[in-house]
Amino acid sequence: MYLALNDEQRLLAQTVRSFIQKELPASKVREMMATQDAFDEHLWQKMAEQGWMSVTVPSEFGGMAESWLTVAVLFEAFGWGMVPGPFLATVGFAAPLLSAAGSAEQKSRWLSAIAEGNCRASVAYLEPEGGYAFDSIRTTASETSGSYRLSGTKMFVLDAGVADVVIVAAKEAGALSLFLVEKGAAGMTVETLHGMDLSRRLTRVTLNQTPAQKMDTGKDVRQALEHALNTASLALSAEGVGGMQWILDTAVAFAKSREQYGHLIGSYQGVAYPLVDRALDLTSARSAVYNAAYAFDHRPDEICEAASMAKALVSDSYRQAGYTGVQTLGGIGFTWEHDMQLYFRRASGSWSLFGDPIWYRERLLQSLQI
Amino acid sequence: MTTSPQEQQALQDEAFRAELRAWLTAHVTDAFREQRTMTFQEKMAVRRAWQKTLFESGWIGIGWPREYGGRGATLTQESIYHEEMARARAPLAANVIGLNMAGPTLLAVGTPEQKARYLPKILSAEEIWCQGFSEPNAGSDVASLQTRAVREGDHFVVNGQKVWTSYGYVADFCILLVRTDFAVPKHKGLSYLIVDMRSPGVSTRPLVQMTGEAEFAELFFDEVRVPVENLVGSLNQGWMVALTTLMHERATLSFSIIVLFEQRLQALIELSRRSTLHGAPALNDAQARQRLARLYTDVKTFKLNTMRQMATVGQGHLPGPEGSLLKLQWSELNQRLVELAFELEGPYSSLAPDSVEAPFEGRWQYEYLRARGNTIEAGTSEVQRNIVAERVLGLPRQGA
Repeated sequence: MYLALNDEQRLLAQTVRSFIQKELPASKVREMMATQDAFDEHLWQKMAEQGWMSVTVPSEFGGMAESWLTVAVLFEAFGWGMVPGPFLATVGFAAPLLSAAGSAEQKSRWLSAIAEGNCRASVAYLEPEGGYAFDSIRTTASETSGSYRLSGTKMFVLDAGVADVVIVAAKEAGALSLFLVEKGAAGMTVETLHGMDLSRRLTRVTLNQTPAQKMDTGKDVRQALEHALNTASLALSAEGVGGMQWILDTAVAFAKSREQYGHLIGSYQGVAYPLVDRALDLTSARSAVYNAAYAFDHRPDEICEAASMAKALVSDSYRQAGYTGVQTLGGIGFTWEHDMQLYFRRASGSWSLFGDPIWYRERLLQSLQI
Repeated sequence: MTTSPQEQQALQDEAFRAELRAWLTAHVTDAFREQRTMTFQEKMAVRRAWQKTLFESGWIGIGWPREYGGRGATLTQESIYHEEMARARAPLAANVIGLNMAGPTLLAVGTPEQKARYLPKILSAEEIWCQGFSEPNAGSDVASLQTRAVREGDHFVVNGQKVWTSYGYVADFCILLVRTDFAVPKHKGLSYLIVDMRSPGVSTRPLVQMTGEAEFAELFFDEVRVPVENLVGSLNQGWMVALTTLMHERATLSFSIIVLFEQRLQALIELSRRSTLHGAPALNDAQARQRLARLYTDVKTFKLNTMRQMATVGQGHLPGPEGSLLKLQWSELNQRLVELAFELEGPYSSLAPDSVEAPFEGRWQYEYLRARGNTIEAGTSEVQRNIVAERVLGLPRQGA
């Protein structure tokens, strides 16, 4: 049925939850967050063994190219579990962009490596100024006898510190193009920013005459980037739905057990009503995400509309869930110790990631020609 | 090449859409255009004629089982049905309570005789239904109602008063909730009756609401004799039957509301093209655009939420307390929608619905006032939130 999960997808969600409970208890998440890159190679390999790195990689490159609804189910479960590291950047953003804009050779090399668990990848498109618009990109590419060098500064790049390859959007003679920059390339520095979301790293990537490989020139670059923004938005929004579910479950459980003034606090309408509103938000958020996945799977003309809606809706309602979650828990919710803050901080750090809701609402209207 | 079951279903759905669209093109004529200036009775005449036309071609109650005059349509087809109705700007069906509340309740718990007697004429709009649950002193706490029915031979004798009855003064039949046992706790002494509105002792009075029109009625029952075979469900089990009705109301009414919302959203976009803000069309204003995009998203997610919920109903479950989430969503969403329209009208927002200067024949003025009832009728938002808190989230009851 339309927008309903099948048995395999339900099983996948259970499998991921069991995996997280076993491999990623809260203590392990905290431990990873305390490291430089919030990354654990051993965990990454275990995730790869499950086949999760290959869900957005086409089968000709060793991937499983799952339906986007299955991809959404996977990200939702990861979001419930606060999985740290570069999974979103690699699987949700870079792999689809490689598929859309890479040459046969580039795809063969990088997509296969991603599917095998041997590659972390990211996308660098935002800059210190200019907001979310591609037109304002100032990073330049110059060509000398077939080889390219990039110069400029990229901001808010997800997990570039552990990326084996970064896809960089730059202007070549005024025209937007995409380039691949490999780890350790000359003139590239990656600095970690202090992000709201403690589970992933935002970075600044500085390029100074950095050697780069141009991606397939035959493709429409803008279209490819828009496509990858849509997949990344779907993945991030699905993750947000998982996070909202965790927050709601945790807050409701607390409201059922915490007693003040001689009553369970969940019996007070002042406590209960915001939780009801978050339950409705969650229902709508999940609908919007499944709808976006459905558009990817069945209605290509509606992808931009559906992904924009999902991203705008979830960005706002995940944050709102965080407010309610913290408030319901009271004092304990405000502590560093309780995991509620991790979800709230992720919701806050995800709000503008890949574009904020204000930008996506405008994008929605434009895609509807309103 | 073989086609998968999904592809076959998709082909069937598209054929269904094409058939319906062609039918609508041929049948939605000017005679079926409602005008804002029509009285409620005039609108009802249009809607009755329209529902009769639908019925004659088998295009009403399409989700009902075939043996009771439906098409056994799938959920997707029901959704297509409502999309196409909106697209064709078809009027509403006349028998809203019959189709959405009385009919589904009889399908669920009615006797074979009751089904045979009432269901066909619900579909054809030959008999219009109303619902008598609320009373002056039993609004949200409907189970505390005082209208009484006393058994005398093969009849119940009913005395009491109902209020906020939609279609009350045009209805032929009423689903009436009455108290049949005063000695037991309030939920346990109720029974559910079908009452012929032409019975001696039934009288109605229009209830004028803040819009200035009388969409609802007050019903008065004075020694009204109701045959015992008109009892729906068992004696003193009326509360459970009423819950069945209310669940259906909260859940299935959503489909017709989707149609309304989609039309209203288009009208709102049209309004924002025509209204001026800072010397330019409001549609160019960044804030107005943000609000429009939010409303578009809300309407879309309401539709998606409805379909996802209907999918579980389609699998044989009764509509559950989750229906309260949908009711909360549409009622508050409609208020936001008409508020934007109100504000976009600028100085014209100060005019009443019947002002000849009001834009669009005052329809936004009217909807703006009417929407305040949305969070009160069919269960207030407070009641809906209590239901969700206790029965969906499992939070403790008040006082626990």
